[in-house]
Amino acid sequence: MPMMTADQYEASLRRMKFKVYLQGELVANPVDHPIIRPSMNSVKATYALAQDPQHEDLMTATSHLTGKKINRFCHIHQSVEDLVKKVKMQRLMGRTTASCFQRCVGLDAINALDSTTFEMDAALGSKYRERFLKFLLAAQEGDWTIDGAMTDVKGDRGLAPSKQADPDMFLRVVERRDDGIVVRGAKAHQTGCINSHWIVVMPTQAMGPEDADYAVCFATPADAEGVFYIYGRQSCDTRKLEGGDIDVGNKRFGGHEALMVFDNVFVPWDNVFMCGEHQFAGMLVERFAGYHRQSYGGCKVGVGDVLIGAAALAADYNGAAKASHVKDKLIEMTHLNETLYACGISCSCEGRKTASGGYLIDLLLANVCKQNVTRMPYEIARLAEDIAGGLMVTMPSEKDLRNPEVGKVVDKYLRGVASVPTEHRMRVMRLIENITLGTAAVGYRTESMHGAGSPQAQRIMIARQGNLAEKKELAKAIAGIPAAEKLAAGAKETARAK
Amino acid sequence: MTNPASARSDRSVAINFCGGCNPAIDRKALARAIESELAARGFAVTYNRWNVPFAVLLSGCTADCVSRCRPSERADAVIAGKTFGAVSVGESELADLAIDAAVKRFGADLDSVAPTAVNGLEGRRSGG
Repeated sequence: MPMMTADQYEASLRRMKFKVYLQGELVANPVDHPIIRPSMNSVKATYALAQDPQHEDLMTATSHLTGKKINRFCHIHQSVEDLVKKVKMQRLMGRTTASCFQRCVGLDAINALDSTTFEMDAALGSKYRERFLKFLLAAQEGDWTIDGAMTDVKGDRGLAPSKQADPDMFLRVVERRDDGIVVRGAKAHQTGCINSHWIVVMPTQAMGPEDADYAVCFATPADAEGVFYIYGRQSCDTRKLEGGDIDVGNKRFGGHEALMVFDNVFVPWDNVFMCGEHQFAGMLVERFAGYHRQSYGGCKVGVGDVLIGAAALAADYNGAAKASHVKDKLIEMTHLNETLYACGISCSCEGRKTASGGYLIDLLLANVCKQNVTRMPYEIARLAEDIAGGLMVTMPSEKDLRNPEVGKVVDKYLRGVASVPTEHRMRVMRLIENITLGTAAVGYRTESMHGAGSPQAQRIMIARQGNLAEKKELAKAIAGIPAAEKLAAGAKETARAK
Repeated sequence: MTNPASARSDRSVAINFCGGCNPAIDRKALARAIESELAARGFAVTYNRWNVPFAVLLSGCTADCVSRCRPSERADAVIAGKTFGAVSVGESELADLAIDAAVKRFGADLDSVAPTAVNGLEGRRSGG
């Protein structure tokens, strides 16, 4: 059965030779580094839950290539039901880890590639699909975690890739050889890259003919020669170095991003899925972005579930649970959270079959989903902070609680409801802090804003797909205004009569 | 002559889970309670299978996702959140309703089968 256990996944990462810089130093062992480890645990949970009968229906799927049971994170969606289950799986993982569990980027990349390579080959006579399917088969058989790398560092946002002062501001092909290509550049904000087996690199935007060298898509092992990582700082990250488990808020799980540098990396042709076919860069970007915007209607909802629970617990521990305004705030948090879920489900239910046989979400609704995700987690977080109170950001540390001299003082004065241990109150406060301001706020807030494309990117897609012209005709019909065609025909008749 | 193995398979019951993305009930506790009682009464209990004469469909909420995977019309017990057979009930009643349904399905003749929990919840998880 091609499904790794959680321990097998961890062991597979230990065999890899990542080159990672963190706070200026080369990390000898990323798997056990205290700052990196929680993010590995989150990805590990995607393997663990797939082995659990209670979650098998969401976490696994039947491969359309082999008929075998595979982890859903390696699956090409074959139905609307698959699209819906993906969102539900994301919610489950968000609830389980209260963090960004990272593996969905690769899932969204392979789904976008599946249909794009099919249509590209049909239009251009290329042979990318065959290569992609070989890669996909290997990914399913190996139960790989794949990172989808899209976002270039971009340099001067006002200039096209080929017009940049430094041509490496967008990743590009620098050499074409008989056996493959050599690429150079960097991809920013790479979620989960150091917990991945392979990287699928994609162009970051639609490209014109002058930018053909930047219209490149390929797969490479995450520890390939020439690939290295510079780990991203997160708010409160060094709390993980302090020992203890209260002040980090969420000891077990977390996420990570890194700057991924490609320093003249060789990629054999077998692993190249686009090279210069600029006409299809936009399709790949649009579809990857669509799937990834759908994802947020699941993952952030799951984290929202935990945050709502933490806020409700804080209200209980504070003795404020009966206050009507507290109840109403929890209702509002739930309303906002389920609105995001409704968006994720709706873009899935309205999905369609593509020419390749894989299913694509409704792109307008997926962009609406993500547009809402850029706003609602901020309000949910604000309400959680409102309910928790200021103590969340002013209270003493765990070391103070454990101190033989002042621990009793902390325990006495930070007690809320008498029956609830002070430590429990501190723990829930720190969890809320973690999600709203700490390391998990990277995933819950700023990633909600910018992940899968910044807010303006969704507004552009909504404008493109909003079908304003048709809506104008609807309004004209109701208001009794002649339709455009009738107006034009009427004008011609008037002109003839004259 | 009745084959003992096929006699046992005739009294197989599967407990089929939804994925558990947002459950309104404690599916694990419910499954354990149902498995324990049915095994004690001579049923062979397994998980997430359809090639059995009777199944308890255990969806965590009224979306009833397990029913969407049901291969054909069958007389199974359907738990979907706090409903049994689409009727609202208390969570504490669900296990007994499912057990009663299984017992009725197979009738009173449960004398000769040894208690078995095949691929039980804990064993399946540790087996991977």
